Amino acid sequence: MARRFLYIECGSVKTKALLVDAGDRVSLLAKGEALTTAGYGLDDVSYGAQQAVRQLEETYGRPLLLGASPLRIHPDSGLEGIFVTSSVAGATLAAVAGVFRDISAESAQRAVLLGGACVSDVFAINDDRLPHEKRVALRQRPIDMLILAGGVDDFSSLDRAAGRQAVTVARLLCSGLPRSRVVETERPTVVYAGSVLVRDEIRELFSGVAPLEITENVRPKLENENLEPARTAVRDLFRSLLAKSPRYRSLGHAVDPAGYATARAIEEASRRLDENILYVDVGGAFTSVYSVIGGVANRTVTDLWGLVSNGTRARINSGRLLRWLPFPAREADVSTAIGTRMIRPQTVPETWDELAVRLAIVREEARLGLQEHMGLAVLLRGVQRRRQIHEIFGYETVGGQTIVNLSRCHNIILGGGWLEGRTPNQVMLVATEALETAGTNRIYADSSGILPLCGELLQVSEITPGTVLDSLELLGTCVSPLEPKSQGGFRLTSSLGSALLESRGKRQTCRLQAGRIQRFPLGAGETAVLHLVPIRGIDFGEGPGKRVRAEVKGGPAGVVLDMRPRPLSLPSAEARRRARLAEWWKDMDACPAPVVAGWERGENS
Amino acid sequence: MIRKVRRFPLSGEVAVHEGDLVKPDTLLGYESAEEKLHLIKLDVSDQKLVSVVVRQQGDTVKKGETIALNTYAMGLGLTEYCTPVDGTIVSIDTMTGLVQIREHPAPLKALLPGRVVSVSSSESIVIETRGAYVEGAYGGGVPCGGMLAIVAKSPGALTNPAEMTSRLEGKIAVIGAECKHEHLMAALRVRASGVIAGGGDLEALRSFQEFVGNLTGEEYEARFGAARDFRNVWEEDEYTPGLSVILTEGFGNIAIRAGVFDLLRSREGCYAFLDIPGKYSEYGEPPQIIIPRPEGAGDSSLEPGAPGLEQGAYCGIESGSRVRLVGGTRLGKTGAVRKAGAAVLTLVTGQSVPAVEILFDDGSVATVPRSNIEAIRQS
Repeated sequence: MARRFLYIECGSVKTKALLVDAGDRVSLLAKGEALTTAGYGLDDVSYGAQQAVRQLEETYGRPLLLGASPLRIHPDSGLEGIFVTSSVAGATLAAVAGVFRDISAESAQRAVLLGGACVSDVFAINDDRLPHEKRVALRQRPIDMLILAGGVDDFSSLDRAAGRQAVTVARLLCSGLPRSRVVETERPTVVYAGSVLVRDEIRELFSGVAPLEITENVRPKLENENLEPARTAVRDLFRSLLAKSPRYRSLGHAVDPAGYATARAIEEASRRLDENILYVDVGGAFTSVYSVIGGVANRTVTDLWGLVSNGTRARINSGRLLRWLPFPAREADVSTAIGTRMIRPQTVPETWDELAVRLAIVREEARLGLQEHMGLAVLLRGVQRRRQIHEIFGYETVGGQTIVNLSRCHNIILGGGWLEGRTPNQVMLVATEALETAGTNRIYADSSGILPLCGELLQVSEITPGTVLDSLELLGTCVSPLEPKSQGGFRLTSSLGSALLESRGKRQTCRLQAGRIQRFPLGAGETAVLHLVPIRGIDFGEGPGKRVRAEVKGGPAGVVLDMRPRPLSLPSAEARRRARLAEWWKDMDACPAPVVAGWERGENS
Repeated sequence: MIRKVRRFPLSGEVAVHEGDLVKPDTLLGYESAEEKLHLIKLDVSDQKLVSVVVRQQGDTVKKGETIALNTYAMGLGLTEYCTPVDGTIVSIDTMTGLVQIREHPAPLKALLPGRVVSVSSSESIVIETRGAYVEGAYGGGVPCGGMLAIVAKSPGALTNPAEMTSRLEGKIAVIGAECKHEHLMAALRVRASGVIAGGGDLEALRSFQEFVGNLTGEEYEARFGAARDFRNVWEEDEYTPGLSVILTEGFGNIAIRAGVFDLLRSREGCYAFLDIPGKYSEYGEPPQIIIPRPEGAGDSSLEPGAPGLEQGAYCGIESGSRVRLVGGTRLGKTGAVRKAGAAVLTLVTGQSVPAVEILFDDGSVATVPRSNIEAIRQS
């Protein structure tokens, strides 16, 4: 029997209130929305939450809560419980410190991100900063916790040195701890997740300086990671900090990190389905990417707008964005659009040109987010291995290679406020270009933002296999060739092979035209068998030139055969580039034909 | 009542106490210099210094100044070792080639007249003042203060950079609708303290901030031919290249809204403080222009721009509310709401959004998406 819950998500731009039934799948009954009231002189999210719930009650027609904050269930509401999560920009900020940037610091960073916090800076002995520069960087950025890692738990003499260096790093940063953002008279909590050998020294160092929590080593051996204890410690700290924060206190309800809940939902779904999942959320302030590849979960938060992180970061470049516009545009106008998006992410595009620019920005955000994610979701570094006989004349370093391979990620979920008002075809177009899909990928959209709720529901009910993905909207299946191993794999004037779709006894065939997008209509809930016969050198996931037989699921966008080259490239001549882009918009049916015709003529709309 | 926090980057020695009255040039303290030690590695060979050191231990040096030279390839090649910061040479080790330079402690000035209400030991000072404030949309640079100077002839005018003359030295220039790269360079050339504009170019602002961040005094002199001699001993009031910018409306060519321009013009010649949160600010903290009440002015009721609950994006939109467009095709236009409520507008893109009807200041009427407007605080 379905159980009814109220879910409130405090996002960076909007606060959503969702009324859901949780049974075999999570069904959205009604939704309310308001701007998040955090910052700009009004620093209490309960105002925004109340407005969102009020809107929801108007739609639903029944009262859900008793009066104003704190949150209390109305006896006539039929609700079983309330969940609240927060992903407000910088909700919980953590600084990470380790001995080596690519080993202990990186593992600690992964634990913090999976725990739902954001990382403002990473310190290590080898991070190219002088000691006082590290202290200044730590002091200048208000943080809520400092995660300290380093050293292994192996008692062999060679590995003890790293543990001593963890104490060195701790001593260096100890005097640079800023005041806590929540309780001004205190320092942020320090979570020590390093070598057990130096725990006593760490306790002594921070005694009387800052609250200290000790948890299991994130890197007990170089060969493996143990992130769960540190991750849970971060999540628990998040909860306790928000309970004290004036911004959240009047809600009177436990607030969980949205990042932690989302990661849990995706991990559970991946475990049950035994498939890899990639989730890209282009939010108002950050781009968050989650992946579960081969059972290994990762999360990254890309701060493209410089809101929380220190140091150099990727930036959205107006020059690069101009290349993705199918109509003539001035760089100054594109730069203005980027700036407006940065300071006012809640605005909506009113014309097709504005929409194309906004989607180009989203595309860049997703691309840069995935790039950063692939840099963190890597094979463990620092793992010792024996040289093999075939490596006599050369040594291949293992570790540091990304584990994210789009051709092995058969489930891709897109999320974020940008999905509102977008057609499935527009979303598919952005997804395929930003992520450069490869092989066979099912594309889902989480327009309502229920993934964190699925993670929260794990606490109260069993989620049956596939429930998480069943609760999302499947837009369709995308089939794309993999990047060729050698040049010359794509000849844009020729066909790349043929495709046959069998569904309910009906057959549809087409020749795979290089550089174009083709679609087979296949409705929501329908399944079909797709046969691909590529030409020599073209790989759809089974090997170059090998036939592929895949079961595909339908959706509003159908089965998309994206035969554009990988990596995606555009002609350098402006007229040909715009014509190519307009062609892709037309192929995907992402906007009306007269608009595309106008773009092809070089007109704005 | 306006409260502002002035912080030391790391820690510092506070020179004021709770209850003290401060002026903009009052020294709140000095940043701690104990840990700000910089190292330069010179060339050594067989534990002997190969480079020729032109300064000595105890000398005061400026950022970018040469402290050692090394010639090679029989004099055809030359390596110069320059100091990264203003400071004092603490030691020169001739065996290892390490030169230690301690950075000069930077002073922290109040930049705001008022009263010190609290001091957080060695970290920050809270100053309280009375006056008007205006919230901006974007800010770049560091907090600064100066006298207001109106350069633009009207809120929507585009200022000619040639009009930005040396009369703007140390002042905050209000330049109109758009701040471009030429305006920023002109302001830097005349040593203006800050710039206020309605809109600007994001790329130009970013690249300018990076340029100024790397600019040394010597380079500034070389570029702009300043008269001062930068080789003098470091003085407290010496010019450090820098410029702060606040855009009041957003990006692009957008006129400063009339109420704000009138306020700034009425206070021309008065002191103003540009509070720019910077990249380490709390999320949601906008840049602000604070114009403290002139000394001797009597108490008044609510002043323009006083912060309150009903403001900006959170302000309830109802009939008669003053609003401005922050997105869409009419970006920057202002007007009053004619019809609020549950109207839905279907855009040409097919998206249906909540909408309001606006009577613009130029007399035109349009229905616009609710997300693309922002309430203007009543003055």
